[in-house]
Amino acid sequence: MDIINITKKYGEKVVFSHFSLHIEDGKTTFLTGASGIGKTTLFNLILSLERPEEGSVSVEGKVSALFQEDRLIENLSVMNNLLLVSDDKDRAERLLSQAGLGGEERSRVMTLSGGMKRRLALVRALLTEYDALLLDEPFTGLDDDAKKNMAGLLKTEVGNRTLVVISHDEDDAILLDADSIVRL
Amino acid sequence: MKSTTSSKLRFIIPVIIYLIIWEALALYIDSRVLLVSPVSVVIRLFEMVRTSSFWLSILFSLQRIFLGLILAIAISLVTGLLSARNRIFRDMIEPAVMIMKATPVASIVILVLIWISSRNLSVVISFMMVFPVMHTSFYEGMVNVDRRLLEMANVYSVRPYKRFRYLYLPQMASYFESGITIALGLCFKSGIAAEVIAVPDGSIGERLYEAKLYLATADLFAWTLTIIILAKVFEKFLLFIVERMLRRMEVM
Repeated sequence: MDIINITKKYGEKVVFSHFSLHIEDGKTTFLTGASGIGKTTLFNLILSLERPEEGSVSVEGKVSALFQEDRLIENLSVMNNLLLVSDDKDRAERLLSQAGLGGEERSRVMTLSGGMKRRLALVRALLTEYDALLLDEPFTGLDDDAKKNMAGLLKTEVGNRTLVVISHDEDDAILLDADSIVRL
Repeated sequence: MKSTTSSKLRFIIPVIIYLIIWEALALYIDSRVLLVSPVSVVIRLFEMVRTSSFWLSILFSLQRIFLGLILAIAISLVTGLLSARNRIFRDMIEPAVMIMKATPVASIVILVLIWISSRNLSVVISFMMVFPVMHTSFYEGMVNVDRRLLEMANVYSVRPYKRFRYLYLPQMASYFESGITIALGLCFKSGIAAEVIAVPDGSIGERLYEAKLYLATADLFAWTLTIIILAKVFEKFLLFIVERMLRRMEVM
């Protein structure tokens, strides 16, 4: 994954000016920085949700992602939110159980707590086919135990694939055994 | 429970006040031709419901208005979807929709009467009244889908069928509900108005025309009341069916 000499502006505000970054395949890269520095902009650029004014972003293979907001369909059941992205019901059930959401398959998302929604969004990101997984503030709203549990699940599921984590909290890098930390 | 009772009272009390004013005016004018009393209307309605011609007229008009309505919903669903997906299609259909919305019902009725038999006029009129409203509703539903959910669907490569069912359909359903309420009122009013102009045998429009011809004001009011009840029952029934369907599909 390569970000090559990009410039990104919002009106007069320059977020990135001739910024480059190489993300190594098969490693866990942790991107951090102060609020408003452009972490989510970088997330959007990697996913091609936004385009840079200059430069290019090169991504090989399929990328799955966890957005900063959960982006779940509130009136759908937990299971149907997962079946939206994959037909593998058995795997969905297994991941739900590992994320502490076993038994919630038929619950509507609108009835879940904020922390449960975050875990469900993480499960959905893991369920799709991917070569690289991109996470934006993955542990928002989770207590310490849930964070540890989800970090464990992430490490097991991602395995030797590329993991890019964007977070303001550098403690998350330790939880995820990050191979490198990039401060924006 | 309390709020349901209070909302019912908020509807019933003004209706009773209107009925009292109506009865007082009818007594004051004292002419069965100029203004018939509400009691006489109800008595006439009870007389009418006992005749087979009453039900046959309802059947005649209802089946044609319903056919026009169903055709309009089905076609506007397709045109609404295509308009949201294709700019050229949208540019092509918009003037037609605009003309349908702006043209007076009487002009359409006379024009359509030149082309087709008066028996099926209300099918066309009902279609032409419902189509522009529902086309706009479906189009708005499609273009107002949450952009963030669409981005999510793109990232996860959600299949087109699932995208339609879980992202577009819920949005379109809410626009459908508001659209159909307006469209149903329109199609009943204009469908019957068209029948009054074309006077097809055995229709509600013919009964209204006869009421006007023989100055049978009680009949006119009784038929009007029937049309209002039919339109309301129809609206509730259609929304009930659609809501049930959408709930089963987990869309609502």
